[in-house]
Amino acid sequence: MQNVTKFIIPLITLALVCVGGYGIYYIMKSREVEQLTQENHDHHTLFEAAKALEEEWKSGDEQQLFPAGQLNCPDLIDNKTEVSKSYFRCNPLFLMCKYEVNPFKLRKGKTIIPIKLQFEKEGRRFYTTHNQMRGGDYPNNALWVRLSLEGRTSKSIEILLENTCSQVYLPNRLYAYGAYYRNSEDWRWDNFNQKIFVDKFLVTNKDIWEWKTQSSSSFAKNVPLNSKAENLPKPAGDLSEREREEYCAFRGGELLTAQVFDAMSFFPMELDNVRPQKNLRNPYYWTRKRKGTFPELFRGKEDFFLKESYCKKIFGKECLGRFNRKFYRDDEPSWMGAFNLMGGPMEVLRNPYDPKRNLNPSSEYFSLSSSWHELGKRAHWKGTGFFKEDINWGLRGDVPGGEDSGPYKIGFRCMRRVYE
Amino acid sequence: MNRILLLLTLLVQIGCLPSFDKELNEFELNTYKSLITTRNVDFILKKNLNQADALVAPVHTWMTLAKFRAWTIGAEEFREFCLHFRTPSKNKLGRLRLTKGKNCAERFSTNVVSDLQNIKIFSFYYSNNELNLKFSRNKDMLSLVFPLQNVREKKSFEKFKSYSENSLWVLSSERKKGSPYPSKIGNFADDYAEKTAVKCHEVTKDCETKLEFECSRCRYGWYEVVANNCPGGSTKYCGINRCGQKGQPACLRGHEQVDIKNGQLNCESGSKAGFCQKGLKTFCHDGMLICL
Repeated sequence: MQNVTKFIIPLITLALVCVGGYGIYYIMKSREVEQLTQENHDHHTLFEAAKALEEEWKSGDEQQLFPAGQLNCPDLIDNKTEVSKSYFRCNPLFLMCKYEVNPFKLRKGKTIIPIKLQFEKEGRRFYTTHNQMRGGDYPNNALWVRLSLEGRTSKSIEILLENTCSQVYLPNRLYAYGAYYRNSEDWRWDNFNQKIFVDKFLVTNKDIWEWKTQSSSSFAKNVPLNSKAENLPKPAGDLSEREREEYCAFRGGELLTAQVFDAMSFFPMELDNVRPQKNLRNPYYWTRKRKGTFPELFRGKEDFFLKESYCKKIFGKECLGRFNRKFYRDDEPSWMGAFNLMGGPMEVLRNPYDPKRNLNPSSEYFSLSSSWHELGKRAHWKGTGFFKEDINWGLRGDVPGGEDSGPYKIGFRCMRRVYE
Repeated sequence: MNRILLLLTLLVQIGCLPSFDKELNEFELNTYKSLITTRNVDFILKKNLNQADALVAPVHTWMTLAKFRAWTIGAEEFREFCLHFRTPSKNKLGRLRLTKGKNCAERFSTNVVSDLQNIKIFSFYYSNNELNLKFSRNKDMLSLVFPLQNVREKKSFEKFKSYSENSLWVLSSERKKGSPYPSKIGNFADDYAEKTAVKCHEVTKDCETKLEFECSRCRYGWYEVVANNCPGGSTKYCGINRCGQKGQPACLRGHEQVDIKNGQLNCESGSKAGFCQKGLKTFCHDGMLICL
């Protein structure tokens, strides 16, 4: 019995030491694995948060905060300036405002994970912008954001949110340029094997504000700014020709040409026939017809009843003060998805074929009965100045009268060629 | 006797403690961090991609599955990775390995980023910007998913569509000291007529690429000139498009609005392959149309 005891006690001691040692080893290893597991989990969580942020960026005001008056950033978004839903898509000011009241979070089932959005410094702006001016393989026109886990900011992911909302593709077709005149050349062109994207809407003061505040270009910093919240959604109407060119270049593109504008707006006779024998040059972008349209009925009739739907198609002089004005309208598209092609501010284009026809005068400065409210009718803007004398109206064009000598708002939009 | 029983019980319970797989976690983490900024992926073993059949032959052989090109320093430089798999044999199970470097064929054992052993029944899939590695290991069936968010497939564009449905890009958070960006090409004042315009894509008459497309690096956009009728278009320059003006390239009238002579684009005075502003005519200069 004594011999057995001699062996058992050391054996038990040895066993306990081994178990204890293994236990410590196990605890250390499991902590290492726990840390690795947590790190893996954090990376996946941050990526999911990035995807969720992308969804909010693209969808805009799905929760209808603006119509409900729940956005409280009077310096960024003016609740009294009516805008369409499209204005809030790919709009960093909207997200900035939204997250001030209701910070961004990731919902995973019933769990809510707070996520911190920041760029470099603390503050309201949680992003900076990437654009064609910077080097590298960066996409053009994007927000740069860092997402991190609240309380653990060492765990972060940096992303870009590209603006994929504001441009639309110009389909490959054979197009006409210019209004039809008897005995004039049937000037046509095509964009087969080319990829052209055009701005759906006119460039706004918000866009110019972002360019000015984010660009490293000293030229941009000197551009005059119309940054009151009520003006931000409105078309930028007082830039010089050089400023417009620089802005479009900042976005990786160029000023919209007259040829592309006509392609966007003349309603094709047959949508499926991309190589028609002849191109229709109808006067209005929403229809193939002239007869029976409201501008034709309006001409010469003093007692013509003006409906709000007419002003949605062409915001002419009679529309001023009559109906609630909405900016960034997205309810009257052209055949390929561009908006605001007639009425509102005038629009300047680049016309490489006929530089003296670089302005679409169709605007709120002319009555709906004016012949300027027809596609392909153009005047000449000299490039600076916004008064009557800075525009050559041509021999047959209406000239604004009386108090309408200016200054006029002359808007613009950009286009971009893509090679793939 | 009771003490012996107690000791035996303790030892059995230790044996039943949950095991941990540090190797798997490390593999997943290191692979995830390396591939999250992938910009281009090239599947070398295409015939096995998206196939439910396990990759088993040839036996005990290293095979390169895919090559990845990932952003670093934000999106300013690239780093290459290769994903390899060694098929199992009778005596040894399969092995997955991610290596760093350009030449995949030589990289099975050098610059190893992550490594995972004891793999059976391995298959790999790619769809919707996700790389999925499925395999069994230590009696568990596993599926590791790696998002490749920055990969953009070539696509055809349609009416009403924007450039991409995908707005999200993942950047590398590495930083570089010194000059932050490689240079962009061109200045505002660059002008073809002044001979200061910079080419960013050159295509010969025979449609051979003499200079690869790099016009996305142009600071002020780019424009195409009228020089040939190749499917991918003609030579391109960086800068503000002043086509149609005196001394500038003629504007593109369209790849189907061409004036063909002897099978080539007609590069003669008055050619209608391009257009100029009213009052100017097209002339041929250095094989392309300009306006004078």
